Amino acid sequence: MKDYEIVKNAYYDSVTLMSTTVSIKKALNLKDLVMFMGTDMNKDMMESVGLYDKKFDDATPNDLLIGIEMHETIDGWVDQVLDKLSNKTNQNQDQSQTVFKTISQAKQAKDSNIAIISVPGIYAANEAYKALENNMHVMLFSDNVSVEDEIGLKDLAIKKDLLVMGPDCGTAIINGMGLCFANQVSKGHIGLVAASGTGLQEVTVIIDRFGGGISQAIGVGGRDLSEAVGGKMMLKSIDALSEDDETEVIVLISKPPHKSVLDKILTKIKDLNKPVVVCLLDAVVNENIKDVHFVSTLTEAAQKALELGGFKTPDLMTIDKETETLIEKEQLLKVKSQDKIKGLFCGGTLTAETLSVLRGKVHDIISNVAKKKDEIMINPMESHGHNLVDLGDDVFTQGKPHPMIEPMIRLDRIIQEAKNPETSVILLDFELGLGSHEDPVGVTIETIEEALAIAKKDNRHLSFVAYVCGTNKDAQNLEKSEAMLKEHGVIIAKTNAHAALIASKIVGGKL
Amino acid sequence: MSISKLFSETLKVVNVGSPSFKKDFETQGLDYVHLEWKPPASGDLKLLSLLNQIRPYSEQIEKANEEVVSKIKAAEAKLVAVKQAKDVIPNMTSHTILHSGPPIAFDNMVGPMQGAIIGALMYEGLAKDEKEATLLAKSGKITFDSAHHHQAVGPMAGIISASMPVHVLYNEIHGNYSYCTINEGLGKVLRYGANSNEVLDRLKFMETTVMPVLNEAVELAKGIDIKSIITQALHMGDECHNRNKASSALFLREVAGYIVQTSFSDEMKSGTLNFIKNNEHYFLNLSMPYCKLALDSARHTPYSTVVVAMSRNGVDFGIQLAHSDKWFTAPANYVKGLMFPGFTEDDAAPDIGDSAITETCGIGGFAMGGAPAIVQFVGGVVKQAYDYSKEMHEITSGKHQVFTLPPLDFMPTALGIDILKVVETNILPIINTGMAHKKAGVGQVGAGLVNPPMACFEKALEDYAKGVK
Amino acid sequence: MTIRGGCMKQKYEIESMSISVYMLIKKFGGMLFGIHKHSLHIKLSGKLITIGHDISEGMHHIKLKEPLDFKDYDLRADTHVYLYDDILNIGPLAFVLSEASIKTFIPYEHNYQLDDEIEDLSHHLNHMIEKKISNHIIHKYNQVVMNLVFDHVNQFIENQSLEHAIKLLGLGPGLTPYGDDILVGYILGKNSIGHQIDWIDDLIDLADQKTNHLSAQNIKDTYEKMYPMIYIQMIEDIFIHKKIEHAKKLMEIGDTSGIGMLIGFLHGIKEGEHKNERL
Repeated sequence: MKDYEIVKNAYYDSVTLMSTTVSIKKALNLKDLVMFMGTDMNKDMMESVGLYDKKFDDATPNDLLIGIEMHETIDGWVDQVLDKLSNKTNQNQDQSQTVFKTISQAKQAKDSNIAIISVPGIYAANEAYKALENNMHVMLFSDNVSVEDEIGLKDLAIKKDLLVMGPDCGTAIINGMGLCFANQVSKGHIGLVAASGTGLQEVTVIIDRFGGGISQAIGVGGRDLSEAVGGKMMLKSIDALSEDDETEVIVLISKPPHKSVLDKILTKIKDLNKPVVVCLLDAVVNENIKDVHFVSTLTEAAQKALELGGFKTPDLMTIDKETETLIEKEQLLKVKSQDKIKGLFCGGTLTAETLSVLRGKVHDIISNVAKKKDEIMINPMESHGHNLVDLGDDVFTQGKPHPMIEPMIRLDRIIQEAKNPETSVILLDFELGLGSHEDPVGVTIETIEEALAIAKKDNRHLSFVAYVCGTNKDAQNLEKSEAMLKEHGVIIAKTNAHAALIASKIVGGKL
Repeated sequence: MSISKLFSETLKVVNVGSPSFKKDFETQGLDYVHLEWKPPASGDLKLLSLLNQIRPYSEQIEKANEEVVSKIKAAEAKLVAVKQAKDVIPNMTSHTILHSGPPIAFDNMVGPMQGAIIGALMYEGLAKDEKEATLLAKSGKITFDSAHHHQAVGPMAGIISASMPVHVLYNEIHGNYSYCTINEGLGKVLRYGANSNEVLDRLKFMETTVMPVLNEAVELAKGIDIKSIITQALHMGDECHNRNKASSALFLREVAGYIVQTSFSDEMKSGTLNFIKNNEHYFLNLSMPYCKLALDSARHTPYSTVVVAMSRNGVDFGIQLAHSDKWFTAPANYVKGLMFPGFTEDDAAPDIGDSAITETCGIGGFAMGGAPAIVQFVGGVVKQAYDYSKEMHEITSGKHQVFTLPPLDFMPTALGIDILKVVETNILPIINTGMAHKKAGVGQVGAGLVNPPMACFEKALEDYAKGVK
Repeated sequence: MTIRGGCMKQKYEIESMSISVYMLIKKFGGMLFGIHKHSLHIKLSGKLITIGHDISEGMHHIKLKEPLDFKDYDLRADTHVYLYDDILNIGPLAFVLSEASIKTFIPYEHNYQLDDEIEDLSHHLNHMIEKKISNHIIHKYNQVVMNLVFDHVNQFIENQSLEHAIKLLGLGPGLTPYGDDILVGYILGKNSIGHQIDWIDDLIDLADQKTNHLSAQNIKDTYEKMYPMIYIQMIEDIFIHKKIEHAKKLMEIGDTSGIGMLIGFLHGIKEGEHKNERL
């Protein structure tokens, strides 16, 4: 049924008119709502669509005509429309800016559906419980949450069919929105579940780069696949993605899980209705399951997912002619002492992946993220031999911001490595996107120049290989960042694994 | 609210923690709310862990609290009689003296309470002077008990002895009763510990004149609706704890005609009328028993974390929860506010009296927003009165229906103090109250605001956590 | 934060105000009549002035240095607006003028030649417009209505005659109706290539009657070549620098206004075989 109203001398700007129309239509579940200035032409138009009333006859072009079509009579619709137009909240006008102190207050006022929690770990679980009790999903960015709490939260969440992403979950992309540290990627049909933030970032940006898109990217936190937690959230998320119409391919990303958990995952994915790509980095899985593809690098995970989605990618795990030429140039300028790779990373998983790739190609590589005894870096502060340092590790970030937020932390270390005569290649990663520093490359460039100069004075030539994990939609802009690095002679890799391969080639590693 | 539903909805975020994420939400046009977050229980991990232990019962607790609030709201209150304590108060004997606040031994009581008891003993004829009365009080022959245990309440010292007239209130919804003495007025009065002849004479006058006249008038009226007077008075600038002008006038208006119709002499009738008229706090001794009546009707609701009594005996502050009759006590705070001329903060006794029952029931300090005149007593600005009334909603389980505050757009007052919310938010209930001189018999020395000690709520929480498992 | 009618005024700085508006306010004062979240409207001697931060400099615009949420202040319609000591007073708000902020706006008389590069840019812009319309605009409005509107627009584009231009006046959604935006863009386009529209005077005469004051004022200002800065930036961007950054910015204005103006502009700069044009 239809109703009409004129608002005299109504000068509401178009954006307000539009957003009011859209939100009132949704809130009141209307068949239609039209609001036009009372000009002759608009009157004609409203008449021709059957939304005209004779009270409109006297309206002037400076008045606003409102025509509404409801499924059933809604009293007070005019007030609701006017309130929204004048931007009034429906609470006490006394509060011009409502302050929310608790999750339940916010939920009551705004019907929020997800809480993003980053308070200190000791309080984080409490807040997460409150959110779940209020039927909200949770992204738990905080770390230092106890295992018991993690299990309690996830059990409650599963009971209520809610997500608990974390604890220690830094990345998620839900409904196209990047949460915490995430890149702006296209929307599409590949769904991901990851127990690693930078791992998730890496795969999503590669997918975006080659034309694919993300339906949902769910983070489950670094400890989800431990024996105690048992992969609860990963299993739940796999279910959710398998039911999601938008998702056609599922990708699972994690560092090697506990055996019991791996078994549960394998059982779950055996009978899924969609193809699954599984990347567990170092873990070797000798299973042959229909429509399940096991890969060992993030790059291959992205490539496989794209392939399954019908997208083509170049072979990212080989070095093309152009890059070969660059590599040869670098090799010509080396002196004998230079034969080691020094990797300085902001992203932990990228460090782990690089270790995984280089392990078979160079001798004796160590890292502060290594799990194998013979690869552990005894003192992360001092480099020797081939080493890969994750500067985001706790030992570096006590009382200091994480290098993804404040890349300056890495600069001193770059100079340190430049002074070391055995350094041949310095391997760097740069993370763009939400949450990250506004210009991670820009703030590092000078140091790269300085490092090159230091080595040059000593008649050594330093090679810099960099990988920028980002997209052109990110504020820091992938193209711009890569261009800046190229200008300074840095070799740009297409993916993180690709960067490892390039570094390996430069020092003469195995293919 | 399922995961698949989330995937098809617009994200609406609540950001709990780092404000640095805000700009990223804005860049993407994400609908978000940033919480003004403070660590719960002021960061006290012990309390947090207690709250966590209770968490699995939150559904039952919510239901129980809702039930409690409903019962309180549903209670009606009629003044049905004015009789001597020994005739109506349960378990009252000739040698029983009731006092305000949680139980306390005579020797530990403050000056005003001891002074009032001495006065009461003399009034009862059990002792002929102060010395005798004191000996008697210490002898063990007198049974002292909290008025609360006898469905009664009293302001300040709150002393009730056998012969004293009490208002009798009846709640026809639940069939329970409550009792409260008649307010003597200002100046040198028993409730502040004065016990001179003047005081005793006045008490006698109330027993022999006011009680019979008022009782017959109330019977003729078939009961006076106390709740309705409170509802109206809240719209007239009263909060029915420290400001009772309008409610007292309304009460007089209700009862005057019937007083005239009673069978007593003109002298007695006019004496009664004038007595009521001259006491602008007369109604306090009716609003308090209304609150007691309403809150008592919700007692013994298992699982509930709502407070049904807040009371002080001059030394300790005590609270009781709806699910048990245990008292949780801690040393009372001193009232902060304005002193009457000639007195300093040093002169004041700690917070004392049963009158905090008004705040427990959502009026008094909780209705400050409707009684801006009170603000003079707290040395503040009117906006604070509004803010307090609003803030109380954060620690209660519900709100009133008919008690509303006109200056706040007829916002209803907060009802049902929930110890869990008090501990979590670190917001304490606000009480508007008078200050008594610490020496017996001097009287009121000021008025202001006070909070119960947080320790009461912490103890209640500990006990609850233990008991709920 | 609410400023509760206190005696201390919040002072904000004005970035740009035209000298003609300055003189009018000084002499006659104005009246507040529109209060929106990010802009205010003032009536001033028959003109409509817009105050805000996110608007471009222009003859009838007062641009503020910092963004304000006007809903936070106790502003009422019919408040008198006046200048005193170079401070513009509007209720509880005070806006500070400096010498540098008073600007002279003169008609923009430059015109340009078309070339292949510009035609390419045109195509590119048209493509972007189509995408935006189909992705964002179509879904929000009543389909039937929008089809009618687009019909009229298409007919105008085909014929570019007075009869069809009149049908665009006051037509469509928005505070400045979509049809008006098309016309504004079209006039802007014709101006920029030095073409005179035969029927323009007749159209201007009808504007006040057929559409609201603000939109009519807009059309007239464009006709008189009194452009807000964003138009000038766009014209120079395209014709001189061969870039479309400012055209893209224009597209983001309002809900459909920017798009409408750009569509009109792109058709306006086309050399026509229409008899309406004169070189």
